[in-house]
Amino acid sequence: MSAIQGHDTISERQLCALCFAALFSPLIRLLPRLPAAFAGRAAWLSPLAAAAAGALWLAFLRAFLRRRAEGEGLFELAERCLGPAAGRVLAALCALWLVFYGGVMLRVSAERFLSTIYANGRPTVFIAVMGAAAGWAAAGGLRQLARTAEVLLALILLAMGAVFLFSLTEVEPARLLPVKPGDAGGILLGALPMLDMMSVYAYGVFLLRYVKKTPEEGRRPVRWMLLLTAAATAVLVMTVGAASAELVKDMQSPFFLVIRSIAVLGFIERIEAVVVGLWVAADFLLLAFVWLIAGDILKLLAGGRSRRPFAAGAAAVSIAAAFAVADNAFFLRKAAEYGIPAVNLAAAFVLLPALFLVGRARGKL
Amino acid sequence: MKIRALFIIGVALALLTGCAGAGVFADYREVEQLEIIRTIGIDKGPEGVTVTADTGVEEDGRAPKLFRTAAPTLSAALEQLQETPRGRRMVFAHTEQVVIGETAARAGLAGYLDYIERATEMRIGTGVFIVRDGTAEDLLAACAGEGSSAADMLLFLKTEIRNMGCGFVYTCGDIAAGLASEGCALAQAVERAPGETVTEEERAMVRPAGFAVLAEGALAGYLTEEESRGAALLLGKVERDDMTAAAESGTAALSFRGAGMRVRPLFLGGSLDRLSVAVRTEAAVKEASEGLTLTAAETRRALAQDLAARETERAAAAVARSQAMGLDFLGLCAAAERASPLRFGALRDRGAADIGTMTVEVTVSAAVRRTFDVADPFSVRGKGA
Repeated sequence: MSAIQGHDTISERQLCALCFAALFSPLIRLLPRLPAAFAGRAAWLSPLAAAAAGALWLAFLRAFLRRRAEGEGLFELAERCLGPAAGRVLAALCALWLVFYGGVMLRVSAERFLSTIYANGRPTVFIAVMGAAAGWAAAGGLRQLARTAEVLLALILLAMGAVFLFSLTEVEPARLLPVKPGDAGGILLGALPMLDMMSVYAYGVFLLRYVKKTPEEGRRPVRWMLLLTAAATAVLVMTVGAASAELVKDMQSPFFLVIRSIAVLGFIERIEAVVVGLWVAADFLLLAFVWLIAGDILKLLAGGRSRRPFAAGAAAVSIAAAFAVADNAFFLRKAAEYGIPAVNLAAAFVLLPALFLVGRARGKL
Repeated sequence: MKIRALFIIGVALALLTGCAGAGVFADYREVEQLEIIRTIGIDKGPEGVTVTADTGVEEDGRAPKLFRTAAPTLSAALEQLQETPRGRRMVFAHTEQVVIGETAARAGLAGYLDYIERATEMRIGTGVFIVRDGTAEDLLAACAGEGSSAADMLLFLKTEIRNMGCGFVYTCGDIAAGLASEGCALAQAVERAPGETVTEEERAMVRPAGFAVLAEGALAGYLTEEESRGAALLLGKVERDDMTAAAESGTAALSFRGAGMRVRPLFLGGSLDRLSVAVRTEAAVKEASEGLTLTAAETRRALAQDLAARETERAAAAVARSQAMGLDFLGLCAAAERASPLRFGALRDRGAADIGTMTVEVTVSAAVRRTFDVADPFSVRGKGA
């Protein structure tokens, strides 16, 4: 295990803040549309269903991570459970996936600018600026990124809270009710996007090697998950309640479309810049987060001393992938809504439990 | 070093949001270089879509500017307006209302709603008006004068119509949501004062003309004024309305508000017997004829009964029209499903809840709760009378 420099350690609170702020990107992007498509007007109950499944997953994760030693993250745990060779192969696959994931997310982020604000623009400038900014942050220190996430998260929550309050006047309860037993299937399917968001925390486990182990480890993510549930429910109430499930399911950026129509007291309007600020901050953190993890895995695989060149390299490859990944937003939407969540869900809810079971079977945990 | 790096990252991200003036596209304009459009009129013409853009009354009270163009589609027409060199850039981001001529509305609104939802500048919260027996272009042109514009009149209607009790201005989002979920929706209709006897000033006015009923994406008909008032009451869109009610000892001008309908499906045996639609109104006395003893409970009850009977007629007329058209634009079935998600919901899921064939019982109850400052009217006859 390579030595961890003191200035690169973070607290579990900071790790949670980083994961939580990063998952606001998929929250705004995926959440209103997919649950509305699956569950209709009952979509706002999907986060509660996801929270129940998420609580079980976090309980499992806590049991798993209780067995980690100080300075161990998912990389080291994979080596321990599967053996050095297989563990490193798994970590390498994760790094490759994160580089690809970052590339697609970067392109999706750029396309969203074009479909909502800068119609008929080119994605190049958005990919370049966002890629450079997030790549720079990923190549910097983990502690700085975590602190940045704490600050940005506070701003994101503040803006979300304000936007939610302003949008309440637009919400029609009739668009959210009634909820019938027949909606249960849709509600459960609608929970999948939120579980996909929570899977971001599975990648965050790679960074646990920088987190000082405490007896309370694993409790904090539960509190964050409850906050995520509240935020997700609020987003669904404001979008489906204002625009109806029938419209939301056909929109590309329902959250943005609804925000665009908010008028406060008749003189504050067109506040969508706040939302753009939200998603720029969340996209920035998500990209920096995945590139930093990918860089960290690559550094460990190569036995390097500094994460910086590996994270910068991961960002560079992702940026190139963002240019090459697709030339139309329809394909990207399918990839971002179905392909990528499927892999993330498999990583969090299949791979991690499988790793745990193999580790237990081999007597390594 | 770190602070500098953070600063550079912050500036780069701010540029992406377009907030930082220059933005990545550097298309910043001074407000003097902009022509802010407040109302867009849409008509059907030989070329496809005729668009009339209205700026509203200028800040110094000058008459509004109207811009007209025609193109095969709405987006092409707006683009054409933009491309006509006027030295100013058209801004549609603050469009408050869309006015659609009757012919265009009968041909179908789906394309216009689609554009408004899709366009990055427009908002789904934009109010929609349908011009009854006329075109949007004529309406906007007739109202344009020194200190007056259709844009300002429609904005006034949008904010004040709830105090008139005769309608409600639904937005593009409301209409699209209604059409998508129930297959029908209401939109506020407007018209110019008709007839030869009206004054010039009246001729340049926009007035509410009841609700327009939209079905399958197009205008299907209009509600009469009484039906529209009944519909507004049922839908809880009446903040204030006035009516003169009579009791034995005299008459009173009442100001009342409705609380919206309460719908209950009533089942007999295993099948639906009827829908019970109830609305409660509260009234206050604004003016009373001499001799009316408002302090007497029976007088207040009589006034309330008169009010309730007449409002019941209006509400029942709106329901009857909905049933006659076979369109649940009042949302009675949706409301019944909320009241009885399992039994009535099952009916709806089976497609067996047809508004056209079910029995609907409408009841409006009223209560005269208060008067303003004076209880019983002053006696003007002195003590000897």
